Amino acid sequence: MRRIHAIALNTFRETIRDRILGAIVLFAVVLIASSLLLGTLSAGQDVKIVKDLGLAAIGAFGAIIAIFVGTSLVSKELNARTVFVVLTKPVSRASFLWGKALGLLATLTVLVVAMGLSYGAILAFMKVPFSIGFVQAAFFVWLELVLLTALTLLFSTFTTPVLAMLYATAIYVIGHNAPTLLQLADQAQGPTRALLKGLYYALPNLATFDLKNQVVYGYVASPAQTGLAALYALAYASALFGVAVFVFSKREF
Amino acid sequence: MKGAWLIGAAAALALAVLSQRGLERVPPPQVDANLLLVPPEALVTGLASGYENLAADGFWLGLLQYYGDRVAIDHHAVNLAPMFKLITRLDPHFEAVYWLGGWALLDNGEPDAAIDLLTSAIASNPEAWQYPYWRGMLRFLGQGDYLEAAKDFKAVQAYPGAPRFAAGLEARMYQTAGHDALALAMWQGLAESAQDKATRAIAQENLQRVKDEIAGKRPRSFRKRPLRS
Repeated sequence: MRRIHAIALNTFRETIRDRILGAIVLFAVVLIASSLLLGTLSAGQDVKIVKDLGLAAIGAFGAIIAIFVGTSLVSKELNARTVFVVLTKPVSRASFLWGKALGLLATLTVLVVAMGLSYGAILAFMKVPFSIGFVQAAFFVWLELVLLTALTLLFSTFTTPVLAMLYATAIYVIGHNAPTLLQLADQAQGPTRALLKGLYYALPNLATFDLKNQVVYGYVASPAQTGLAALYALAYASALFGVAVFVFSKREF
Repeated sequence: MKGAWLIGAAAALALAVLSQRGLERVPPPQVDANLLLVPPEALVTGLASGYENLAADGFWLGLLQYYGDRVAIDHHAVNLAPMFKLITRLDPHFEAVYWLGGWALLDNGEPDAAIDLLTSAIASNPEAWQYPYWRGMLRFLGQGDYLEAAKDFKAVQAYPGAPRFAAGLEARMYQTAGHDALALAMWQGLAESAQDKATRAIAQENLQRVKDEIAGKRPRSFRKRPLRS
């Protein structure tokens, strides 16, 4: 546990100090604040636009950071040869990956909270009544980032950062279109239907974590929905992590 | 040698400036400013997955700029109905779009598109009374279809939290369409069931007006054509 903690802490410090990360977060905060200006053009829909833009910014920038940083988590260490220093110690490859994942997750948690607080401050400034739905939406974004972290970590164990980013982005887009995949499966027949259904269950269904469009209209997720979404995220992330450990353990360098 | 590079760079910059001056003389492409470009719905919904509300907001802002700029001057717009349809497909609960869309399409000479928009609003928002109410108003003011408007105002009354004036509007539609028996029955019922003096007074006044119109004591109040044609 101490080894995992040490690697996680180191990863957290490295990523949180990343200048590009700081720039992305600053951009996100500025974007959320600038939604106030957009609101003046919206013919009375300023509150709606601020709500929509804020949640979208948290989701999109969180995903960008998870993909951008996560895909180079392992490859950076491999290129700098620092991984050899770590693995010559009594640190298993699984512990190494665990530490990396937890470190990145800690960073993402801090970022989601920071962006969420900025968003909350702007809503409070606009005198929008507080709704637990907004907190839930941010939590669901965080669950999505847990899954994305595991995904990008998997890709980073066996391919280059550029390809890993491409794969992760493709899965992100497909994941958000999972309901469309299910609709296609329902309309198909025979082996095509089975294939599409298989793809639907095999690929991560990121639409599960998408509350953005509903909470702006007062929707609040039930405890059952929240619990199941959390279970899905953790279970799928664990599966991805297991594959990542397997791949990384077989890798020779 | 280093000096030669600098001279070369200065020459290249001079060439760039000359090219820029030449480009300034090229006339800009003629764009139909009275055209609202609507991207394919399938493309937008596919790309916007998870960010449909934000996409709808973006198109809404663009539509407002177009509507404010062009329609206020030309009193005519192109592609208005497809744009309203796209925005409401992305965000079916975007109330302001339905409100503006209904009246804008009516103003643009597209009453059927306005009714279709509000019909889709009703389907997507089954608990909101304002959509059948607005559809009724569009049918009343835009199409002069008083009986269909009456049906909408009747439907409004079934919604939880619906305003009490919907019954009066229904009665008024029957009255305007010349359906005396229905109008009489409705105003009578409203006068008897009214819970406040003001509503009772309005109902009784209209009841008397219908009776006077039947008796020929005053001219008919129904219109032969809609306000907006």
